[in-house]
Amino acid sequence: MVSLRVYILTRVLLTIPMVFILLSLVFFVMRILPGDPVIAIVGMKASPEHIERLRHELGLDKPLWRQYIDYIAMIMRGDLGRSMIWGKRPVSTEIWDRFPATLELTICAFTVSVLIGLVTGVFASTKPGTKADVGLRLFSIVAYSLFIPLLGMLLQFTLGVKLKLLPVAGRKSPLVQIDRITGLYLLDSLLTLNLVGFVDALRYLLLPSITLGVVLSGVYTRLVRSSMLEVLREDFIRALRARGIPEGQILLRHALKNAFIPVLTMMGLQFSLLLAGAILTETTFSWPGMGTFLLERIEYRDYTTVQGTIVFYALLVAMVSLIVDIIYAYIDPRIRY
Amino acid sequence: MPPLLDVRGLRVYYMLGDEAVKAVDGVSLKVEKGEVLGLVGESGSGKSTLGLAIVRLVPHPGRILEGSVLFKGRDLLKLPEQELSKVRGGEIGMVFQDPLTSLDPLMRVGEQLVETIMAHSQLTKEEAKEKAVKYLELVGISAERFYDYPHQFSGGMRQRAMIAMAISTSPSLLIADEPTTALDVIVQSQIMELFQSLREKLGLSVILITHDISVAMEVADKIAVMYAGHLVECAPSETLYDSPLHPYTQGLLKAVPNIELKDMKLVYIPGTPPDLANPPPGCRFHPRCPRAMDVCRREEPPEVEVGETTVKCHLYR
Repeated sequence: MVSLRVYILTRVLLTIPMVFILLSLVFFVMRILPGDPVIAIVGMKASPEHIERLRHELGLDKPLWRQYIDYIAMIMRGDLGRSMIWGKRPVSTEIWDRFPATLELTICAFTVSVLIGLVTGVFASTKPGTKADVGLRLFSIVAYSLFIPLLGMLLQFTLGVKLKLLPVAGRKSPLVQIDRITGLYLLDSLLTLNLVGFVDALRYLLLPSITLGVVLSGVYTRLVRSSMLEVLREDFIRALRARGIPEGQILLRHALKNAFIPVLTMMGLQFSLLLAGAILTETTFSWPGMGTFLLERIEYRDYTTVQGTIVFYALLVAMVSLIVDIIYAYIDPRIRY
Repeated sequence: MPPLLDVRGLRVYYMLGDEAVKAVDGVSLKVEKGEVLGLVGESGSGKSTLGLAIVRLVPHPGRILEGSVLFKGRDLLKLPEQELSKVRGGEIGMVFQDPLTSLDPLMRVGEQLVETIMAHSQLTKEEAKEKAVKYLELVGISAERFYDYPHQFSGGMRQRAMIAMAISTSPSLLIADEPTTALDVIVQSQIMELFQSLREKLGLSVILITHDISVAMEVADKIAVMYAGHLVECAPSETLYDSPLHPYTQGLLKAVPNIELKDMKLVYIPGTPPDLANPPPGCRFHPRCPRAMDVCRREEPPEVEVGETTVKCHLYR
């Protein structure tokens, strides 16, 4: 296990140059884009003196290289700085406000998509070429190509408006109080034994999770199916059958585990992608997550917030991919670091 | 007493589009209790398909069209899937050609053995583990390798582990399909010795499928020779060696090098085996047969009993 620790340490160290390069890129690209936060806030009609004063306050009148060095120095101190617009709140607070909503939606939608994908994929792989298989493949293509707002609105209309089963927008009812610990409502309400809050948060989570989960599941259905079919052709599966191992056990304990590596790769990529916020889903369900937040801040040229968020993402993505690599080694004993 | 295994008129075709590859075409054979049958033939002669068909594991698009496989008086071809899976690995053990790919790479070897034992008994996990260790030791793998993964085993060890799995459920019949082909010569002879000793210890019947007639000669009591989906000759090993009847068997034996006969010339059989989708009419060997007659081109030869030998050839009618 020593080698695993060395591996993890190496990977962690390697994220530093990665973050640095990414940060530099974002820093300059943001400044190449036309407009700046001052113009975005006060508009073109403000007096030149006013604009100049605001620029000075934000340090935007300094030479570019100076701004860059100042910013890097700040980051090295572990400070993401303050937002350049409105309340000028610390970037870390802004992220802390928004990120839990995204994380909660990500985990739920991700679980929905993986569950649908695994069940349909394994099922289809046991009956290749049958009507059920063709049907599931068709479902997976349709699901994958569905436009999220369309599916979202269909569900909102049927389950929300017509049947009045589920709320259609937001994270919880305005009247329900959930004490904030992690910002994940489901977890917080459980930790505070707030059953009303839990049920409420769950009801609000269902529609966006299902919408996003169904759309993402198509990929897994196809991937699980093809990966399973490949494994099921292998010699050791025949050998298992020849040893009279029950078919269900062969499928789940042996074939699925062997077929899981490519699926895990996809899961890691998709989880990272989801953490960046599902803008379409968030917009459809007025979900206060990172996707809409980042988009808005890019529009306002809120340099520090965008830069800080990107750093935060870079670290998250690095962490997720490291975890995926560790799981690889856990699943497959032939993989050693 | 009826034989342990009695295969009658078995036909297995692979359906490829509108073509049918006649891999096993009307084969009958018997295996007695405690007997080692060597099933010999070249690649594509249908010997592996025959082995798989006995436990109904013929891969897609193969289909068992006709025949019966009587095992201890029950027809395996008519058994419901659930009961058959108790026979597979339980009463009939199988060992395959490639030990490198025949174990689940993600599961510890010992656990795979435990899984097999538990699938065929009411033992608890601890009892099954005890038994697993015992069987690993029986095939010459020490107990401390129990927790190894397949990739930590050598080819020979993996094949030993496969054999341990096949015999751990105390089967009465072991079907070994080219069990030593993927292994080097020294390991090959070790595995063959293992088979011999297991057979003596456990009183096991074995069907040894091999393309190497000399390997079969070493261990088998009886040898069945397959050619192009037909069983062409079946006889006790010594009889077959001393007086092979079928021209194909004669050709096979002439192609085996013999260390005692210094000036012996190796003779190969000219031509190639036929396309089993469109096999030649009459005797399938006639295009390559040095003694082919007119009738061979027209009529499929009957099975003729000559002494202890059963031969499918017009010469002995």
